[in-house]
Amino acid sequence: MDPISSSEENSPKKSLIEEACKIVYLNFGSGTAQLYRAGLKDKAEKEILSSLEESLTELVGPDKAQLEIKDLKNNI
Amino acid sequence: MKIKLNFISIKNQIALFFGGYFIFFLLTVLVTGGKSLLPDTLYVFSALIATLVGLLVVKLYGFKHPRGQVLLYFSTGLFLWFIAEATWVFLDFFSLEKPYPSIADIFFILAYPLLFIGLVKEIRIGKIRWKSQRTLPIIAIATILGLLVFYFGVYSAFNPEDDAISNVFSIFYGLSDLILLFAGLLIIFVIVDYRQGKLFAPWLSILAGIFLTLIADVIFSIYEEAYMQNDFWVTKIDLLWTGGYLFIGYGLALIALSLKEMREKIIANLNGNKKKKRPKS
Repeated sequence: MDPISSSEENSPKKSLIEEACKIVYLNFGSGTAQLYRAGLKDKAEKEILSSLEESLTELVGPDKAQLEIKDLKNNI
Repeated sequence: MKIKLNFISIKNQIALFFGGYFIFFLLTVLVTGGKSLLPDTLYVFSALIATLVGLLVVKLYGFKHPRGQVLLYFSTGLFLWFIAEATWVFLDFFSLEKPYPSIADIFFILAYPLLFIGLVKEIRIGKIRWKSQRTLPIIAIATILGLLVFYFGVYSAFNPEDDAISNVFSIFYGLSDLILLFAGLLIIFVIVDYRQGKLFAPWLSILAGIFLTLIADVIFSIYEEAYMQNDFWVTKIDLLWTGGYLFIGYGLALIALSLKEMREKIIANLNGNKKKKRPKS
């Protein structure tokens, strides 16, 4: 695989992981964010987004969760 | 002997504790009649309980965490109220000094700006969505309540027959309540977005506690003299203050429980996915 393509493919995922971890940190606390970051390596982007939205919806409700996910997508 | 409460959820156990505490306090107030040491001790300890639960939530978020800091301001404010209440009870029962005005009021007053900063920080983190459907009713309510608090808590609080210190404290309490009222109403915008989420009920409970405290403060400022003379009915505003502390404590306990439950779920989801993905042989 072309290393440049590889790094381009990894970059959006890396950005997604960073933003997802920020959201988890802000909403669930630092302890949870550390565990979350450690567990994300093998996850696909779609999986990361859907599980994050599910957890956020449970904690802060659907409206707030959608806002946070929208902000995350804008920041990637 | 261990008593197992597995048949009652932890959330209901927390509700039972705070509800039971209030009912026990109410019974001691009714049984003892006027001011008495037992109900006053329970009253003081309600502030301590709220403080300790607040500190637990701070630890769960992290001391440097933005929300941890919101609740650190809250907990410190509650702690100052605990010190103030304890000082008041000590002066009332064990000293010849009048509890109002006294050094207790310094601790009471110091707490207000901390609570206000906590609310403002939460408003900034929460990112208010201004919608006219919500904004106009809240502005109307804020105006009416603000005028009431200003009239009873600030304007009427001034009594030319009282000494200067009493008047200064009375007016300061009224102004502090006014500021806290507006911060509390602003935060409604934040928590409305939490509806259907686990954080909605806790923040609603915290707000209810703050508003109960404000109501009790205003009633005290109107009937201060009757309260100091241990009027049977006026001293029942202690129920509002205690209820305020317990509602805040209950809300904070629910936040702690929500964080703990969500952390366990997130870890379970991550571990669950790791177990599913096995290398192909």
